[in-house]
Amino acid sequence: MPLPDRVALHELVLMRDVEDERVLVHLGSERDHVMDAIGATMLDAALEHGPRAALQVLTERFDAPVDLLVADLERLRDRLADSGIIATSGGR
Amino acid sequence: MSYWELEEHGGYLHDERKMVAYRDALAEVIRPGDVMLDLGAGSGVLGHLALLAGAERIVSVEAGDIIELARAIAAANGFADRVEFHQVLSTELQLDERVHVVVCDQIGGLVHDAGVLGYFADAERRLTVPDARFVPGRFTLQLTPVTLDGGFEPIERWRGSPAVELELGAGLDHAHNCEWRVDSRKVDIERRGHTLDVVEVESTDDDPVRVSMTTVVETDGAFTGWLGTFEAQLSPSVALTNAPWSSGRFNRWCNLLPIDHTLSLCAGDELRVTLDLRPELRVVTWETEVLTTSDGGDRVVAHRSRRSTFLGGFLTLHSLAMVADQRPVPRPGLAPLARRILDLAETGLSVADIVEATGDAVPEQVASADRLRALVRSVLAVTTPAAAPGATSRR
Repeated sequence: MPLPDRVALHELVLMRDVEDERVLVHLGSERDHVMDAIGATMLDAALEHGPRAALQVLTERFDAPVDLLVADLERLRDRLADSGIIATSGGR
Repeated sequence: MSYWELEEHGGYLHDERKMVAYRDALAEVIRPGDVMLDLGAGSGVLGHLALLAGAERIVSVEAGDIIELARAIAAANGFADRVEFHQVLSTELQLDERVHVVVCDQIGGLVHDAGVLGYFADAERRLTVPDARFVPGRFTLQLTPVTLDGGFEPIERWRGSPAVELELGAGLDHAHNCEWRVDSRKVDIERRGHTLDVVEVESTDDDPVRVSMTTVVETDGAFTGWLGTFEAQLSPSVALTNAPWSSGRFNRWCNLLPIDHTLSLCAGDELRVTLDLRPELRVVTWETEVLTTSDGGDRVVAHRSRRSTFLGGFLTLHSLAMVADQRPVPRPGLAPLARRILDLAETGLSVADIVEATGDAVPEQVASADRLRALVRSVLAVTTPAAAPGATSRR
């Protein structure tokens, strides 16, 4: 499935940074999740710019091949969407 | 056992309104021959009231050392042979015989915060006969928009110190996300609108609660936050409340749920609150919207905030690691290191041995020993296959 235009945190999700990790809690499922700094950077970019636009930002930030970043973003999106952390819209 | 326990429990004994309410409620609830569980018994006074009301025996559960005092009081008053003492958390209590009545006064300012709902729910599942009676049997949780003159001092302290020039904003952010205990006898509290009866819950119901309500501001003035109070239905005809403006209040703290900063409100503004209680997570979240009327006559949101004890409590990777020990954790995506940890685990190595064996080859982002131990524990607790890079789940 291609990257969507937009993602948003589910309204029942709260997140905070603990040292250099990101802790998210989903109040609905009562599960908490932890991301490392790379995952948090990718999530922040996706939330701010949308996943497809975030590619440009992340490519410059990590100096990584676009194909690799696309694959990482897709896996991150799938995992977070499956957990109900994010909602996506506008995929092409 | 310490001076503050004597102060606290001595205060309970001299709260006449509370003692009379529990005495009358137990007289109404207790039937001859009942066995009653006194949950979080403290000095044991509620068990004593139940015996006077006709209970046959009391199972007194108290995790603290104050149980020594409860034993001494029972002996001195001639009912030691009718009370069975257990120094343990009620959630760890095992009984051969199920009880007919459960009483508990571990009621927080907004009910949930002292644990009564969870303790009662557990007791109903494991320790009581069917149709057991609980005292209290029901709670109404209430929120009232209030002004605390000058703000709330424990929060305001984090705006700065006259003695030390330090940027304290991080502390202020935590403070705005805490549920604060307020002694209404010591703090000047003014209501800005009606008290909202947010939700009624059975005292054995520890399910999550999420409720939204709106109230209209009655008078111009500042808005500091929401004051959480309750009404407890002890028995069909006896109720008890901690609401400061109630003539029937007893001495129990209230909970202040603050907003970001003190706001000026006008009569006619609307305040909308969403209260989200998650007993299992021990997280309370409160969202506030202030709706005012624009020059054009439209209703507009003038302020919106969301605060949560999830953001207010201190948290470190070390404490996360401690929690991770107790929770099922899906497999993290730190694939190479996780694979190595699993391989080492299959050889029978302990956590400490695995930490030592992987310490020289961990990625930069797992540089500290605490974080490596947390990661090892997480990986060893895995239940599902890996997914996204860097994403793990701890519950």
